[in-house]
Amino acid sequence: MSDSSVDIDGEQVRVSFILAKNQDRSLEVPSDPIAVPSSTRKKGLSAIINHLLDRRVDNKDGSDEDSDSDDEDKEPAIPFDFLVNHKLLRMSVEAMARREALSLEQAIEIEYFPAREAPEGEGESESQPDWISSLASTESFVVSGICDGSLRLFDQSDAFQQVGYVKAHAGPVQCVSSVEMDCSDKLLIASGSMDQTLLMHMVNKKNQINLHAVCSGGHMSSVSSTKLLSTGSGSASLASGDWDGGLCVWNVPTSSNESSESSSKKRKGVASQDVQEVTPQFFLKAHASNISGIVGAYQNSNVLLTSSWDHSIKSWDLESQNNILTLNGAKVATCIGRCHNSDVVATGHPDCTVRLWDMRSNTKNEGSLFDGSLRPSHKSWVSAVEWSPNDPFILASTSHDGTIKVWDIRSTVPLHTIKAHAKGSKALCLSFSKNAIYSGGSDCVVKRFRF
Amino acid sequence: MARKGSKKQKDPEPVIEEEGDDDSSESVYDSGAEEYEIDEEEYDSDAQSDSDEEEESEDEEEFEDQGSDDDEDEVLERQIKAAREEDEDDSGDELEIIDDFENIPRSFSQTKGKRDKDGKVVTKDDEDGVINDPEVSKLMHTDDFSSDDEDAEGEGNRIGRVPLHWYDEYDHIGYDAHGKKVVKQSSKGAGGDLLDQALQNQDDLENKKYIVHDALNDKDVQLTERQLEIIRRVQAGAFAHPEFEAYPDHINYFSGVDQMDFGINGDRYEPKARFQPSKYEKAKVRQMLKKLESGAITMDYLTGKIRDMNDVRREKKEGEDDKPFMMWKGDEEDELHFRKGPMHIAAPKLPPPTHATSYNPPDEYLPTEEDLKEWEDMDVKDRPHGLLIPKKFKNLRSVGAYEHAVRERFERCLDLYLCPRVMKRRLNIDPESLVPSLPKASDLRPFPTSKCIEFDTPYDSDEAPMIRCLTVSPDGQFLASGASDGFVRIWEVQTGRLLRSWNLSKLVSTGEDNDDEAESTNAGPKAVVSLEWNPNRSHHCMLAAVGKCAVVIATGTGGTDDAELTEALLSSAAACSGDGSNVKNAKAKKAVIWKGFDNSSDSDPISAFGGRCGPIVALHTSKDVVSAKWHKKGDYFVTVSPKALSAAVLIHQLNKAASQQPFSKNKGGEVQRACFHPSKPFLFVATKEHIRVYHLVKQTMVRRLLSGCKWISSLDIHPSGDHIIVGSLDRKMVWFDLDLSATPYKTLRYHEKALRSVNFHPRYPLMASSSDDGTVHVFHSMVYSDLMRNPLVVPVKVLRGHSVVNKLGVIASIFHPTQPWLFSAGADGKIHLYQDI
Repeated sequence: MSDSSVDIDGEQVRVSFILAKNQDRSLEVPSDPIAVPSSTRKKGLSAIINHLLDRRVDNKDGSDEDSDSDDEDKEPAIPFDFLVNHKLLRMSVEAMARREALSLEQAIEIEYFPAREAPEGEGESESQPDWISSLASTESFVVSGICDGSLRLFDQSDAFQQVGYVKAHAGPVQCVSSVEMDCSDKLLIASGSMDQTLLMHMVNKKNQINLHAVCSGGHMSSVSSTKLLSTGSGSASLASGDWDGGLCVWNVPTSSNESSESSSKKRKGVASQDVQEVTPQFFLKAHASNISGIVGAYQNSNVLLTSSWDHSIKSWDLESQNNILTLNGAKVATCIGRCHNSDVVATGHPDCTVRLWDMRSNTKNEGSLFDGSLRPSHKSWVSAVEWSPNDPFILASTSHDGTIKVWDIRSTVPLHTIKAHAKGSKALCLSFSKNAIYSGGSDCVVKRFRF
Repeated sequence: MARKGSKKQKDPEPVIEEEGDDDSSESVYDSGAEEYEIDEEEYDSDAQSDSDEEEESEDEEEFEDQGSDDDEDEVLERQIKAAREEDEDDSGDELEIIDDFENIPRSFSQTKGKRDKDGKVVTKDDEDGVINDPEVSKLMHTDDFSSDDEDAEGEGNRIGRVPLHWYDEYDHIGYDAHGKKVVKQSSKGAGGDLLDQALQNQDDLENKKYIVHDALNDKDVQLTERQLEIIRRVQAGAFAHPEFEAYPDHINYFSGVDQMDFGINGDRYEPKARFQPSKYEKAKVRQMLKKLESGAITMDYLTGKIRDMNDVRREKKEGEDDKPFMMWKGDEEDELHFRKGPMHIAAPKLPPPTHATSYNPPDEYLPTEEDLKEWEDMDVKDRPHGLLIPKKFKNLRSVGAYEHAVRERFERCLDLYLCPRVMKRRLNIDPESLVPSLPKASDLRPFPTSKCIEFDTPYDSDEAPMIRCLTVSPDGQFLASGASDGFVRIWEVQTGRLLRSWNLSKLVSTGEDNDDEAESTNAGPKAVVSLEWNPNRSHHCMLAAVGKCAVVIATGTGGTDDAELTEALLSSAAACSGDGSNVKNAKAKKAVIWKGFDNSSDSDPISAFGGRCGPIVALHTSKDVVSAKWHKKGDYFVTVSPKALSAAVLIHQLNKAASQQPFSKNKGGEVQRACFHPSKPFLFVATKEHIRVYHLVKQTMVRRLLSGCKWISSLDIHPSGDHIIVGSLDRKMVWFDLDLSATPYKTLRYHEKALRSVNFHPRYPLMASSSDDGTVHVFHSMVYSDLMRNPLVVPVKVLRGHSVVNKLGVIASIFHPTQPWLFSAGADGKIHLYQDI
């Protein structure tokens, strides 16, 4: 089958295909070297693999009768993506080999795996009264913070309906974070607002959102970032950062009584019986300016990673309340996202760039910035960045230009660009769940993009 | 023995002892030919060349032979040496050895002698054939050079140079070489008396025999003919040796072309110049005389007592070291004037001739009659060819004398006569090299470069309202804008979301209901012309100027603590009812009325703990307020209403709701802007052309800065307080360094139209100016803490993006307080945030 590519004139390089790890074994092809034209790109290689796998390949010219008859019972072709030297192939094979300084004398080892398909827009919420400023997602729910101060709960089912609503804050919600509490099978939502309030809500089984706790006494300016950290065994802690660079850590109080149905109507009351007032566990002046994002460290619930408008990314030890690592950049960091299985973080910046940082910090000076690993691709202020919860290479970013870009960190250019929001409206927030990306912005609609 | 080779210059040694050698020499001559044959065979390696040379040149042959003789000499010397050693060892063989010693050199030298003689004879024969005569040959040299020893046998007297009379009393006269006594001849019985001697002499004379007495050996020696000849020659003063050729023929040894030794160009006749006095020498002498006169050389040098004049000079110089000298010599401006004589001024360079000056110019250069008439009216200088009128001639020959020659020469002379005789010294410096090298803009990052957020002002009317003023909260979270529709709006910087807006124009006009209502209703909304957030981070309020009012607005952004502070600050002002009871100052009381707004105009605060939010108090003045600026500490503020004459500048204290009128008189025209020094009690007041600096405590004017502008439109103070920038409507931006003079340190003319605002960045070394040409220019403005270094101002970026509406471009610009970002507001109703990428 590879003869079709051999008879093309021009230079040829020999490649051997290896199935990437953790992939379906049925896609394996023999790893014997094959000569391919040196100018072959991703598509050509993908066609070769599909040939080898005896799958149907779309031949524009090949309308032979026998192939047609063959194709009837063949499986459809799969688009593949290829890795040369652990980097995604985004140019011709030869150019890539030269860039990676691989010898053309030997067969180039190319790993392949089924390409990640572009997410498709599938369902959007009904129009909200104000801008969607923040989103958080869990296994089954999506929580959105709206600029009118309300929180909206969506389920992740196909219908994508709003299942809960609460008018939580007086000012615009700046940040939400949610975590599913295993013990009580409930969803805990923390939301911070521009009006300097930080609230915790509990979602019960009937999808009613009840005010769980009021955090008071911590922040003296707008709460700009928040993160709920599940500490296991049903307990959680909350970290929040404000505009002046203050970082607060709060204990999430365990729910005392379950009879909150009645009090849901009296939510606006100053203090219903089940609402607890929480004071901060500790307060740190962590940054010189706005803390724009907080994430927990990998496998260490005692470490927080924060990004700030003072151009720095810091990691904090919650037990000793010490700064472990400070990485200084040149630009304001507007958001932060961490890889699900390592301490590599991505930050978004107003200069249209997503940057990757290595926050692994056994010793002080170990962290570093992978500069130029992701090229500036957005057209405007990057407002949110989220890592895929199941793929360590995939992350998504969104920007004021209204697009979502899906990145594979093994390539410098984005995998996919989704025009999520109408032109002229800004995308402000992003949430990456296991099988979908949610985004919200100034068009007041939460959009869902499924893989 | 080494001297034997030369042919003609024979050894001049006397041959007195060799009496009987004549015969032998004869024989040598005779047998020469045969001997030669033998020799030739001996050196047969050279046979061929010898035979050739024999015919052509005997000289070379001689050299050849000499070469071979050396070998023989060596052999000989070795043998002699060996013989002598033997001699010393064994005296018994004495006689034999001596015989050997005698024989070996003799036989050898004979051959040599023969050869020499042979060669000589041959040449003589060949050349002139004069000395073939045996008589003559007797005179010739016959020395065979057998030995240097005159007394080879050793029989002569060997007493040395001792007086002979020592031996008078003995019968011997001395000892020979062998130690035997030499017996006296006279004692043997030969000794006659003097008479016998005289007779003998007479006989000898007759027989032509010349006998001399050898006193040392006590012998009579008869002189040979040769010896006589030599004596005769010496007496005559000629060369002693008859065989010495005094005038040998010239032999041209040089190969090549034979010299022409005849004809007029030959060197046979000396040139005439050799018999005439030398012109060169004359010139040389003149030169030396001149040098002598000028002192460059001395008589000692000419007479040769001094080798080098430099030595004398050096000595002089060393001697002069201690003497006083003119310290500034050579530094004078007009050192040239010390030179002798008038300055040489070169005539101006004439332009090269053109077609018009040709004797046969192309037709298009010939003037028409109209041209000529036109030229007549013109001044000579303005005519295209000056005095010359292009004319066509048939040929160059027919061109006459230049008619204007006299006139032109006269004018040239006049020029020279009238021209000032001062040489102007021109510095020959490339002006480019004097320009200080500015650093590259890319090295001065960060500075705002590109637009990233647009803040869209909502509007109902057809035209977007002009944004007149901007301000950013001290923490950089919020932006406030004042527009021409009378609204003050608060935006969130991060997202560009509009948070709050208040229609100040409406509020103010309803407030001043007692004024003539017709005017206020007809005039439409009053623009918010000035807006400033309170610089104190814990005071959450801002100051707006709208119409005739300055309005304090609580922003409601503070936290619990800050809200209390703000509340305390605003409480007394909010309580003002407009009756003027709060203002104690009598003058200010007339000028301003504080009037608090009731709570109905309040809106929800941005912060849940923010307290009151919305306009708190309006300060009604008599004329339009154009500027309201806070003091750094956020309690005092100054308002400017230019038309209000003496009450143009008013200082208010918010905390006490008090006002002051600092000036009783209006000086220097309408006041445009006023602002406080960030750290010292200074007030800067800008009129249209000047900036006055007042000390508020001493209540005096400290300085007056002359801007050089016609109409100052904006003013900003550097955060350090030592520098001021001023923007003017006549397109200039002026930088004053307060430590320097009252005139501008720098005047920057970059904009094409009037400047509307100028700003310093509070943290970064940045400065921006916005203009009606729709651009914002960003400058890097580094102020060094080192007082000796001047501030560095480099233009780094031109920000575009605003469109020009009604000839108004960017009206306001302001930097973000913490980031290198710039907000700009234009007449097109847009607010842009530019950031560094």
